[in-house]
Amino acid sequence: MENIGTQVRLPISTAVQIALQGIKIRLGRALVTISGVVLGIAFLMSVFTGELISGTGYIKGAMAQREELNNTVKMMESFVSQALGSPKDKIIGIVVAGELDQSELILAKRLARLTQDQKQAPKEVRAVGLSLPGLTRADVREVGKDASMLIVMGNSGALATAFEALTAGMEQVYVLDTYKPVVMAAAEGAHDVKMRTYAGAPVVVVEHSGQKYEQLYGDQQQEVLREQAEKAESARFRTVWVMIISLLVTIIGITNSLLMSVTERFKEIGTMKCLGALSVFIRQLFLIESALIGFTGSFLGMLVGALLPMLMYSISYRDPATGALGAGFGVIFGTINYPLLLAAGLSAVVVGTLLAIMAAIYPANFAARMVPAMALRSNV
Amino acid sequence: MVVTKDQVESLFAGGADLSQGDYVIRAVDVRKIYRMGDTETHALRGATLDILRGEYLSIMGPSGSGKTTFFNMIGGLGKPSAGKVYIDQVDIAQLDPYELAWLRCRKVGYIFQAFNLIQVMSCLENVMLPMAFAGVTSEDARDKAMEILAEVGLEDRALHKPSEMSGGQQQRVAIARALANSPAILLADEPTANLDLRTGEEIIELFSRLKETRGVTIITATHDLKMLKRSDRIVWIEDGRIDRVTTPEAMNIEVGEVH
Repeated sequence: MENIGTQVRLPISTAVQIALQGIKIRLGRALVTISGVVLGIAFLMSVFTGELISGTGYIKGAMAQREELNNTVKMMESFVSQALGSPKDKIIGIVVAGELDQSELILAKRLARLTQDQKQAPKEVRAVGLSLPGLTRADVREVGKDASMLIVMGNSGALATAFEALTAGMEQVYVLDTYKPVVMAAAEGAHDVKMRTYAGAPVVVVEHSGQKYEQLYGDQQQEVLREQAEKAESARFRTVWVMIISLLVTIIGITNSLLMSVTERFKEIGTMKCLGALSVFIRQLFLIESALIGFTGSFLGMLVGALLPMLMYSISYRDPATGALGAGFGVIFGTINYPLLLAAGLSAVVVGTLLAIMAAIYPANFAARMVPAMALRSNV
Repeated sequence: MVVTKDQVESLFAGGADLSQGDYVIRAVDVRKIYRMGDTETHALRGATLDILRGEYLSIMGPSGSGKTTFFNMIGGLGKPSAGKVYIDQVDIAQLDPYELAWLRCRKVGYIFQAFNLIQVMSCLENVMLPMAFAGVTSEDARDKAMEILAEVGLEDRALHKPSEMSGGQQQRVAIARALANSPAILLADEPTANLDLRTGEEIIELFSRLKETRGVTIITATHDLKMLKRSDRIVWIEDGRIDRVTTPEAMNIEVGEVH
């Protein structure tokens, strides 16, 4: 074969150029295919983002932390209501020593708000060392007078010695120590303390607290925690399953659209082969077209899937203390783990592009197998 | 304008007298069998034909005669089941896909009934495409493409899209594209069938001119009498065999002027 050469392989850039032109002319179809990818990847990305915001797994999101805080406050509140019954017409005393943590502040705010409530308004909520609208300022020596309950807040143990003074004037001693049981331990000998709890961290309460808490909360709390874990597990399983299905649907969508595109371009492909295009080149053409569609779609889907959940969580975020809307943007956008969000976004784009290339394998081979004589059939 | 089978059969008056010469294509006892499940279709049953370099050859035949199959074989678009096809002394059955692509790219220029221009590309890009497949750098390809477009009289339409042009212009772009890599053979499948009489005649004129200036071998499958009249030889295929080879003079084709 002295006068026959071997056809050169064209550089990828030529294939990219022709594939881009192909997308441009069939923009409508390409947009439909792209929107399919956008949906699939947006779903994947929104699961990632949701996990970063409200996940309880390896990464604790802002919403999960808020949820935990909420649980802590709820536990303390439920202690109050178990000890007091209805707070109506009762006196509650609050003593603050040292710094308050968030859950303590929220509890105090909620108790203060309780005074505005017509049906359940306590007679008085008095406080030492804390000033909030709704709270009455009180003196250390008089805070316990006629009070049905005393709540000790703050991270300082300084009140331990003053315990007797604090509880002076209380008929029955219900004390909620929100920070350290140290205060109570010191007081226990001297007083008939009916109930107390340590609410700083619910799980720790269950595992490490004294017998009294376990009698009160232990079993119940553990049950609740176990139920929550089971629910989270089944929700996770469901999410993964739906995610896989949606990605499969995306793949099938791309394959279908590319097959139609190949069928439509029989003549064009045949012509290219007549002009000297290799099968490899035709295959490349479709793989590149699909990769471009997949990349564009995944990139847009990644943006949608990241921003939409962040916006939704932001809009629906309620302040734990006041229940008010509006503060969410700062909380969500300020606390989300950006390096992890970026990593999730990158992997969503990579996954989308790879899936698009996978989806193109069959249509691309189908196109590459086309015989050049196809170009001669004028009715195709 | 279209000749019926009976007309043509009555027109053929024996084989043409050809002196020995330089053959650009030789088909020797070419057979082609298509298998669809258990049924076998014998599209070609031993077609033998030698085509001279620089010849203007027309192939005719009723549908189902094996005309298209024969056309594909001598154009390197398919391999025979038995027999040999030599294009420029090369047995195409021996070629691997890469060599076949090389052959299609440089030895043969294809012209289609429906023009088959790539719609997304401008005329210039269409003409440059075969050169890109041949590995010509884009600057060289651009210069050469402009030259060829000038040769077919479309240099001022180079940047237009095919959809913005008339059928005759599109076919001229397609001819320019077929000439891109200076092939020895132009293979045209009913090139005038989608054109009106006048533009069809312009295309036939262009073919004749190219034959003179470039010495290119032109093979057409056609039923256009005007085309047949300009041919050096006319090949009639029937039932998978070369039935007759004749000349327009022998066929005595009379074509009126188009006004």
